[in-house]
Order: sequence, then structure tokens, then C-alpha cells
Amino acid sequence: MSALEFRGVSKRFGNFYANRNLSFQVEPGTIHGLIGENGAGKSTAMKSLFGIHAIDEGTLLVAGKPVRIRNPIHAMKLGIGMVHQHFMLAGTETVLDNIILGHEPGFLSIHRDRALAELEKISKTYGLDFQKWMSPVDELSVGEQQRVEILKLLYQRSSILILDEPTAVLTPQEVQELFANLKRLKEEGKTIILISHKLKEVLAHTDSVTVMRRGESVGTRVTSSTHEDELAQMMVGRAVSFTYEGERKIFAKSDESRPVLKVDRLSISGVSEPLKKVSFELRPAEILGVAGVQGNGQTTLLRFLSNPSRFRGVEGEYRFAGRNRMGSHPDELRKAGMALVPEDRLSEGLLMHQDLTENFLLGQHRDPRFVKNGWIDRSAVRFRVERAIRDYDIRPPYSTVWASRMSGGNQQKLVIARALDSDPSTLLVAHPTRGVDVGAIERIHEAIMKERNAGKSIVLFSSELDELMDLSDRIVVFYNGSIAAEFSRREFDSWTLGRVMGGGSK
Amino acid sequence: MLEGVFSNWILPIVRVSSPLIFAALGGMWCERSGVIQIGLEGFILVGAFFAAVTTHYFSNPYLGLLAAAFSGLLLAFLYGLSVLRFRANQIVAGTAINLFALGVPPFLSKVWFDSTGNTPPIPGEAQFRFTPLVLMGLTVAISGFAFYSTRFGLRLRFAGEHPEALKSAGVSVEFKRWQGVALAGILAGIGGATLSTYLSSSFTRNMSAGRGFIALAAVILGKWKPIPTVLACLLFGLTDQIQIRLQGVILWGTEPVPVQWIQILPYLITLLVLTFAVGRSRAPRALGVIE
Amino acid sequence: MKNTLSASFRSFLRALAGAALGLGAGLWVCKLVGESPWKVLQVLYQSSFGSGYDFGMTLFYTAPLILTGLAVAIPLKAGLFNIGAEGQLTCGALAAAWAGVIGAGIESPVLAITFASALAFLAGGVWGLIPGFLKARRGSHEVITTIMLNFIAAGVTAYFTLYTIKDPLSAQAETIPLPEVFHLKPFAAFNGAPMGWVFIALVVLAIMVHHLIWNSAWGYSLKALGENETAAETYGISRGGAWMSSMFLAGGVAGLVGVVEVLGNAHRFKIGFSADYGFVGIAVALVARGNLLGVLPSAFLFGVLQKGSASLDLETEKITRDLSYLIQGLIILGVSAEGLWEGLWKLTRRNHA
Repeated sequence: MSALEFRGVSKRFGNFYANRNLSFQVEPGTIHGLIGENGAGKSTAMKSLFGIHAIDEGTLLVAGKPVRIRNPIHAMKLGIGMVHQHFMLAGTETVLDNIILGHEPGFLSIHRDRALAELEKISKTYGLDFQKWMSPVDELSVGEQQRVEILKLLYQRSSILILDEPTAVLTPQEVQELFANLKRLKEEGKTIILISHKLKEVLAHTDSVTVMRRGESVGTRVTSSTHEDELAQMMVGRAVSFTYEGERKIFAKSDESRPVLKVDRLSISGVSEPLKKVSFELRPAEILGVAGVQGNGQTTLLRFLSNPSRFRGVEGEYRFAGRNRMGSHPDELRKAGMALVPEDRLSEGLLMHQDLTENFLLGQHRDPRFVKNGWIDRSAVRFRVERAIRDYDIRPPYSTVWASRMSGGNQQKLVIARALDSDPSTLLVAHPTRGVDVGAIERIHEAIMKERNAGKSIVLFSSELDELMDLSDRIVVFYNGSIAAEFSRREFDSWTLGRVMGGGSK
Repeated sequence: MLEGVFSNWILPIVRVSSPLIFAALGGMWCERSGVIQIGLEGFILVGAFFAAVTTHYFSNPYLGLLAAAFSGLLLAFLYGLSVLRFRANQIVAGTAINLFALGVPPFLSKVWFDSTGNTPPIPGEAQFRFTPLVLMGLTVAISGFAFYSTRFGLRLRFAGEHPEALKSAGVSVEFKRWQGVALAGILAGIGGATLSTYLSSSFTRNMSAGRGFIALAAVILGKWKPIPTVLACLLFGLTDQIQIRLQGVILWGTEPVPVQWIQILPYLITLLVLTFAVGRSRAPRALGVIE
Repeated sequence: MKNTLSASFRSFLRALAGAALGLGAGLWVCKLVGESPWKVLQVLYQSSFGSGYDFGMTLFYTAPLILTGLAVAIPLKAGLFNIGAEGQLTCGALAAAWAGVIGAGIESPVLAITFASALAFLAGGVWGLIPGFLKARRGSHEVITTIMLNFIAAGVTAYFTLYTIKDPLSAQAETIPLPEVFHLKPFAAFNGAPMGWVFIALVVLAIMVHHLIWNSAWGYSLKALGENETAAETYGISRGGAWMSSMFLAGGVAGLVGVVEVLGNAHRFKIGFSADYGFVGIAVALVARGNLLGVLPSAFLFGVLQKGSASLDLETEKITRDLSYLIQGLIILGVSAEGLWEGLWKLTRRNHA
């Protein structure tokens, strides 16, 4: 009898299937890996299990019995517990208080000593060494915080523990400790589900593994009988989702000598994704792809390249268009020919309650093309907006439509049109096709390639390997704050790339 | 000598701080649960008014206290409805509550007493002698205890600090926030009662004079913790005492310092303190955030 | 065309509905205390439009509200709550009175009025700049700093009124009267109500400010910051600069109340002249939903309420001018209760399905 089973489970958000006909089993007392790329549907599946939302089709079975999990409390009663990727811990409160929240012993006043005694017992039983019960969570290292989350589950008497990307934020030593702890838990009879994209870890520490892609389960294997290449292939898939069929101009080698943008031993500390001695060059007429799992430093790099003035604690060199740009303001970079398509168009790129014309001004509200003596010439803006609407087939095709009324694809087209409108020499583009439908994807890729063919340089940040391999001339892979490897177009190979993204070597 | 210090300084400071302390503790509970509370001024005002009226009518200050708590609760309920149920902007709603409360006392006192805003004075026997201080001490003690040592306090703190964690632990965040808002209304209302039935003997127009905002400043200064907040209130009470003492005193030259400069001292000090002593103050992480 | 128009129209309807709700609630309160709501409405109408004097007085109450409404709406665009209009207008008014003292020798009315207005604007502007500066540099919450500055302004202006430029001939707390050359002449049609061409100037001012915010690069950076701080920062818009400049402008506009009151009405600064214009300005801006042109009709609404409350005070037994505060509070709640309208909308949807 399995501890947990997904049988034909589907979950929809509007018309989008986050999970489709998902089926797999997990045996009790095992560590089961759930792997897949970003957006494969792993988190959605686990949220359904934890009762955060309801499933639309199919059945969930716990200990062989079908259940309908209504909410997290219900899930907890069934013995299911989850350690989220972003910890559910209040930093200013003590470890003890965070653990006992919702299950506080005592009637009028909380009997913390009772809870403490029980936690000491749990700590011993499962070999989860811990002393700092009364420290505020803020003072703990990330690895220790994670241990607190696990202790929370044990205190709640969970028998099925779900860990969502647990090693994403850990140092190598902490990773070792974590898996040692998980092994102990397994031996004591707990069932563990490990959501991860890191193939090496999954292969080393799980008993069985299910691979997900595009909301479905591609297959389940016994870990000892599979290997990295097979899993990578299942994860990424053979068929490439969209291939750029257009022209790719070949440029002569002489362009290598003068880079448009250069970063040398760039280190940034004091941010959530620090950078460690990053070095690379961007040459004219090329697309440099930046690959890597979200959280390995790409966001910091992008933010730095577009707005160095926002950062402190920066070391190294940053040159663009022939000048040193450390501490530069975005206006300066824009004048020198740089344009930006930010990572998250909703939070960083658009004004949702304004129309297209207003949004077109964002980032260029002092540009001499639109602004004379401090006054905005809206007819000039409208002219450009209408041209952009025609060129990129933006719908609905009215300059007075609010950004919030547009589909994701059209919003993205607007952001890209805006960036390209100033005729930049260099583009920083992040996740250009995230949340965009197929028709718009084609248009966007065409636009990017057109710029490259016209001699522009582009840094393309993306978590879609297909997209990167399609468009880039070179790819650098980020891991843990630095560039793990660089690939030339000849060397592009999804299995190798996936491996390096997961921490392996080229 | 000690006797002198006590009766000349400590006692008056504690007395004059009492409305602040009640209101600030109420504000602390509310903001700790994640709801911004700038309506304390309004709660104090209605509390002061209804306490004065009830005490006058029944010659019983305890009933006045009850009326104050109840009226504060009602007004807080209106605030909670706007903000928690109908998701109005919390600062806008708080301002609206203050405006509304500004109009209620004079309006009603015209209707009931045909006066322009003051209520008839309370007979001497019906005034409090030291009960509010005892009540205040109890409130401080209970607040401190509840804050750190009870399930109620812990969960409420999480509602303002990490509501997602609270929700996944199976506790209703909204209910905790209602409790926070209610406490603000009740306690600030009682603070208003001490203003009109303890520190004075009637309600006068705009009697709160910004105390609700000073109370909020005390909460911020006290980093949203019970004891530091109370200390901050006492600090402001001290500035108030200094202000009273300095009136008519000759500091330099031959004329006493003009009273206007002294009267602005509490506000000026609040401003300076807020600017320089606070720095990156740690508000509850989820303050003002409603999904 | 369709989208922006229909959205702002719906927004206007919502504001109207909220105002109506608040007004209705206020009338119900009147009924509770024994006055007929119809009579109340009648008095309100008569008091605003009944005669030349009445209309003039309504405009007199409206004028400062236009200014304080703008003073709240301008920083609101950048995401700031300016509760300090009361202090800002007080400083401006005192400065206008002081201009009469400093510029006692000026002979040209145009020069005199311009001088006084500029001084008023500057004084209010500086008072508004202080909280903007504190927020930009120290992150101090503007709600508390502006309120503290209101009290401080009251004390400081009181001092100067009583000690520095006090009118020696008067027993009241007021300043030396302004020379004739500083006076604003009222319209004869208003039969004594102290309102004249300055009202038109204010309407023009509102339109100009709207034009400034809407069409200048500076105005754009305010709006972008207020709408989406993250996006504004990504594209290099400076928060501190926007906050300080918008607060300075707001304070200056509020300071111009001094022109209306001191130059146009009392011809001197009187302690306590303000009928809480600063606070009502908050209501004006909120009901106008932050729209700078919308401040004009909104200020008129509140001006009618103010004038009407004064009449109600005289013509009824039970109702005082404080009723207007009550109604204002209710109106703001009605206007800002987003969820209320969504809830009703959902209800009607469900009934049709």
C-alpha cells in the first residue's frame, strides 16, 4: 500500500492546465524525488496535496484511502506537512514560538517548557541537533532555519514530509547535513517527497523519482536503475518547443576585438543573490544567453547592468560603450544606447492602470524625442505607439487601452517595442516569453533576431533552455553566483547545459 | 525630598500620560495584528465625550468608562468593516474616522445640551480619584503578559508579522485582525474617558488635541512592544509636564518664555524623536497588507 | 478611447454613489435627532444658491478647499498622504499678513498682491518641504510628521501674531491690518461676500497644476512613482526628489489660502481663522479620487456643505455646523470602500445568473 498516490490529477487556472492527468505513487518510508524544469507543475501538485487549493479532476490517496483535502489544517491532520521554498518563519519571533504556532501547549499562558521538553525529545530521536530554541529566527543560518521548518513538521506529527527545492539556498555542507537528516527521518518511518531540479542530488539521495514536464508526469523510475542522461532527457524533452526558422547572419571574426559591454571580476555582496567574480564580454552583433536556475545570481546581474547606482558593496569592473559605468544612473546608460526589458513586466515594467501611451513613456520620460523643455509631446508618443502597435501586432490596437486589459503576450510586446523604439545599440532582455502565448512568442523572437542581424548586441536572460539555444550565439551558465561554464553555439546540448545548471561540470 | 519628587513629578507624569498609554497600547495591539491605526484620535474623542456625558447623567464614572469603551468599540467596528471587509485604504479610512469623530461630539452636545461642544461639568464626587491609574497599571500588566505569554498574543503577533505562516498553521488571520481593531477602539476609548473624567471634569471641544497621533508616535518609538511603548508615553508625558512647568518661567532676559513656544514642545519633541531616534524602525512585516 | 473614458467614468460614478451614500447617512442622522431631512436639504439648497450673498459665501468656503484639495491631491499622485495642509496654509496666511508689514510702502496693487502671494506660497512650500525632506532622508512617516507640524505651525504663528506683528489697536489676536493696496476687491453682485476674481484665478490654478502634472516630465515621474514604485525605481526615477518637490508644491498651494483669507477677507491674520480647511481638503481630494480637476467640483460640494451647515446652525434647533464633519467622514468612507462596490456588483451578478 502506497503512502501517497496521485491518480489522474488535473488542476486548471483558467484555461491553463498546471497539472494534467498526473499519476504516480510514493511508497512509505522512502525518499521520492519529483523533478522537472521551472513551470513543470511540481509546486502546483504539492500545493494541491497540502490543501492550498483544490484539484479539478482525479483522486488523491493517502495511505491507500481516497481523500479530498480541503485546507492545510486538514492536510496536517492527515499527516502531510510541507517545507515551502520560502520559509514560513517569522524572523523576529523565536524558534520555539515559530514551531508551536497553532499547537501551543497550555491553557491561559503558553507552557513553553512543555513544548521545549518535547522538542528536545524529537531532536534526539531524529538526530536533528538543535540548541537555539529561544533565538529569533533571524539569527539563524539558512540551513538552521530549514531544520526548524522540519522540526515544525515533526512537532505536528507529520508522516509525509514535502520539501520544495530545499537545497536551493544551502551551502554544500548544509546540503550534506540535510540529506543525512532526511536519511534518519526515513529510517524512522517518515515518507519524504523531494521537489528538485538538481539531478545529481536526486540521483544520490532518493529511492525513486517522478519526472514532470508541462504539468504531466513523464515517468517514474527507481533511482538506482536510472541515470543522469535519462532523467535530463525526460526533463527537457526531445522536441524543441519552437525553433527560430529565420535568418541568422554570420559575422566576421574581426568583431571580437572590441566588446560592447565588459564585466570583469564583478562581485556584489549584501544582496539576496550575491555575485562572485563574474567576468564576461558582449560583442557586437551577438546574442549572449544567460542560463541558470532562478536564484543563482542572474537577477542581481541584470539589475546591476541596468542600474548600477542602486548597488553598494560592488567590486570589479563594468564598462559599456567605451566608458566605466560603475555607479551610473539608468538615464546615462540609456543615452549611451542601452535598453531594458525587465524580468517581471507586471511589477517592474508596466503601469497597470495607465494606457499604452503612458506606459510607453516609462523609462523615456525625459527622452528628447518626446520631451521638449520638460513638457511631454504626447502626439509624438502616440505616433510611436501606433507604429509599435502596427509593427508588433499589439492587441487591442488602441493607444488608450489600459495595460491591465492586455494579455501577457501583448504586454510583453509593448515592453519590447518600447525598448527597441529608442534604437539602442545594446539590449538587456529578461524572460521575454514568460507567460506569453505561442503566436506572440514567434513575433518576439523575430524581433530579437532582427536586432541581432542589424548588428545590435543582446544579453538574453531566460529559464527556457529551448529559447536560449534557439537564439543565442553563446551561452553562459550561472551557478551559485558565478559563471560555471560558457558554451559556443556549436557546443549547445540540452543535456550538458542542464547538467551544468544543476551544478555539474561541462 | 523623595516625597516631593513623587508628588511633583512622577505622579503628575503618570497621570497626564494615562490617556496616551491606553491609546498607545490599543494602537499597538491593532498594528501588531497587521492593521494600520491612525484613527486613535477619533476613538479618544468619542470615548471622552461619551464618558463625560454618561458620568454626568448617572453621576457614576464607572458607567462612563463603560460607555467610553463601548463607543470606541463601535467606531472601531466601523473602521474594521471598511478596512477588513471592504478593503478600503487604511490611512484613508482612518482619516475618515477621525473626521467623523470630530463632528459627532459637538453635534450631539448641541442636540442634548444645546452647547457648542462642551459637556456640562461632572460633579466632584463623580470624578475619579485614582481608579484610572489602577486600571492603567492592570492594562499594562495584562497587555505585557498577553503579548509574550499567551496563545492570543503569539497568534496576533504572527498575524502582523507573517500571516501566511499563521494561515498554514490553521488560524484565521482576519479574526485576529478584528480583535486587534477592537482592542484599539476599546482601549483608546478608555483613554478618552480618563481625559474627560479624570484629568478634567467635562468634555471640551477637540479635547484630544492630537493625543491619538502622539500615541501612535509612541508605538513607533516603542517599536511596537508593550513596555517600550509605555515608556515612550511617559516620555511624552514628561514633555507635557515640562511644558506646564515652563509657562511663566524666566529662562533668559527679563520676560518669561512666550507660552506658544512652550506649548509646541511636546509636538516638536515628538517630531525630533521620530526623526532621529527611530532609524529603520521594524514595523510588523505585514502591516497594512491585506490580500 | 473606450477604455480610459469608461474607467474614469465608472470611477466618477462610484465616487458619486459613495458621496450620495454618505450624504444619505448624514440625513438619516438628522432624522434621528428630530429634524426633517427634507427641511435640511431645503436649507442646504437655499443657503448655497438663494441669493447673491449666499452664492458668494459658498464660493468663499469653496476657494480654500480648492487649494487644500490640490495640496492633498498633488503628493497623493506620488503616493504620499499630506495631512499637513492645515499647518501649511497657516504659515502661508501669516506670511501674506507679514507681506503687508514688510511691503508697507508698495504703491501698485498688482505688485503688492503678487508680493504677498509669492511670500505666502514660499512659506507654505517650506512648511510642506520639511516632512517631504524627512521622509526622503529618514523614512519618517509623513502622516505623523505632517500632523505634528500642524500643531507646531499653530504655535509658531500664534507667537508671531501676538508678539511681532500684533495689531496694537485691537483687543483680538490678530495682526496689523494690511494697507489698502493689498486688498482684493469682491464682486458687487455678491452683496458683501468677500469673494471676487480670485476665484477665477483659483480655477485657472487648478487647471494649470493639472496641466503641469499631466504634461510635464516631472509630473510623469510623480505619477509613475505613485502607481508602481518598483517600476519607477527600475527605470531610475528618484523617490526622494519626487517626494520633496511634490510636497513643496503642495505646501505652496496650501499657503495660497492666505491670499484668499488675508488679502481677500479679513485683511489681516487672525488666529484660528481656518474652518479646518486643511482637514476638509483631505476629504475633497479623496472624494475627487485624487483627480486634480475633480478637486474643483469636489471642493464645491464641500463648500456647499460648509455653508449649508452654518445656515443649518441658525435655522434649526438641533443641528450644528459640525454636522458637516460627520457627513464628510461618512462620504469618505462611502467613496473609499472599494470592496463595498465589488461586493454589490457580485451580488447583482449572482442574481442574474
